[in-house]
Amino acid sequence: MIKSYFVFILLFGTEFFLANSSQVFANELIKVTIQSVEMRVIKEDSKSVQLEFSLDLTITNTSKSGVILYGKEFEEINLTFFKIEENKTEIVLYNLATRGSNFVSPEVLTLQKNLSIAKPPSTLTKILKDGESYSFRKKTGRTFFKTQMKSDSNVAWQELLKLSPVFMTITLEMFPHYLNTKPNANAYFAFGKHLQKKWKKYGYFWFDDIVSEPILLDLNSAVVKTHLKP
Amino acid sequence: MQYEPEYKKRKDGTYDTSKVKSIKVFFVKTKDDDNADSLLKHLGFKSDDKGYGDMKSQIEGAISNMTTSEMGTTGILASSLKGSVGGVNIGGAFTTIGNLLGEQANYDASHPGNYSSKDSKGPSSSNHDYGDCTETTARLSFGVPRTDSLASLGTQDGPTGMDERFIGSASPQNGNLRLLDAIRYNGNGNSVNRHYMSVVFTGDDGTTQAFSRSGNGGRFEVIRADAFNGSSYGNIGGTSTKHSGFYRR
Repeated sequence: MIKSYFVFILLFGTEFFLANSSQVFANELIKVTIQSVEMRVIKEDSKSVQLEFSLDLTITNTSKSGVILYGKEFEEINLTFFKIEENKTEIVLYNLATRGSNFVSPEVLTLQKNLSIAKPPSTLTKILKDGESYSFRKKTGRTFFKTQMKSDSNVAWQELLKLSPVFMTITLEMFPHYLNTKPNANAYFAFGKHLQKKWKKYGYFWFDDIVSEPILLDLNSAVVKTHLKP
Repeated sequence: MQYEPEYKKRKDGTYDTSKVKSIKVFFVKTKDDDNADSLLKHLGFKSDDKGYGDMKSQIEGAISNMTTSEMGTTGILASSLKGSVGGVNIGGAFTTIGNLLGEQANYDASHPGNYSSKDSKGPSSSNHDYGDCTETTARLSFGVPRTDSLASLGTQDGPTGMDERFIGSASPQNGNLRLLDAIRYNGNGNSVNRHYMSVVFTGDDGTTQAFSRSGNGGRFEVIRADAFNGSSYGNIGGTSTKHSGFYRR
């Protein structure tokens, strides 16, 4: 038996659902939209299925002034699947966060030093003008389980397939957590706030995590096809 | 395993269900032939481990005291087990895990919607002895006392990093794991994204559950050990290709 992996891309318009949703997904100054999702089954056995998601993402400045972003790649720190009930209630089906842990390195201090200048350094930051967008591709993945443990709040893979299409969002870490601390103080957002004040005249430095707008996704499109050997 | 909240008791003897003191972990029978040996096997211990006999007797005593009612059969409170098996303090481990899960439950209660939010977090990591996955795993799996500061510990390479400070070469294979064995996610080769967890329990179907804190200021949670495979944490993998990615103190 040879296993070959079936790749599929799909998209649904989300406008109707968003219009009926009780939750506001857009952020005040910027929004992250998922333009497309490519799903690939990396591994599957009797207990689990590991999927890779290749996401085409766009960050758009929706404010009237400049927005300053750090770097060009942003870490995915949370992946969520949910459905919206007829009464507009959101039911989370799967949610798994992958926040980064402490990272203490001389490189961090060097980077903080290089950032802590009067003007946002063009080598490390990007300024989005009013209405401007920035698009990039992000790969991530998760392992889904075919049975649900009693203590597990995430539904089983088979249940996700049954409920599919479901909404998906990802959360992006817009400023690395290890840079966003005051050196040796472990205080959240100290350094991000410092830069925000410093760079005020060039735009608003966005250092907080951001949740993407949802996309409707049919997980049944990610399947493993088995073929007999010729 | 079964989890039940222990609520804070008011002065008048009633319970404040908005404040969780800890999450109590119970071992419950799921099959008629579940016994002390099978529980110790689920926790990964072998009959020739030091302290096995004493712990087996203790569990047998607890099983004989179990009662059955229309609500079901009571379980064994994991944190009540005294003593160690193979150098692992079972009751102590579940006391710590229960207290940290209790903190998470309190955080969720004071941050409505956090539990299922798309940005779920945990109690503040500032001034917390279990600030992230490295500190949590170092204290649980490698026995670092709370009196010892782990301020510079992190996922980085080098002498202050988790790998060099704690991850050794005793690398048991999956299928041979025991309570508090450490799990290392390789971060796909990027040290910033490494993740560490502690083994809790392996079920009848071979599924291992593990405890950790998902990132700096992230959630305390018991989760399937391999749930993060394929994510930005990478896959379970060792510091050497000869290692399984699981480590024993």
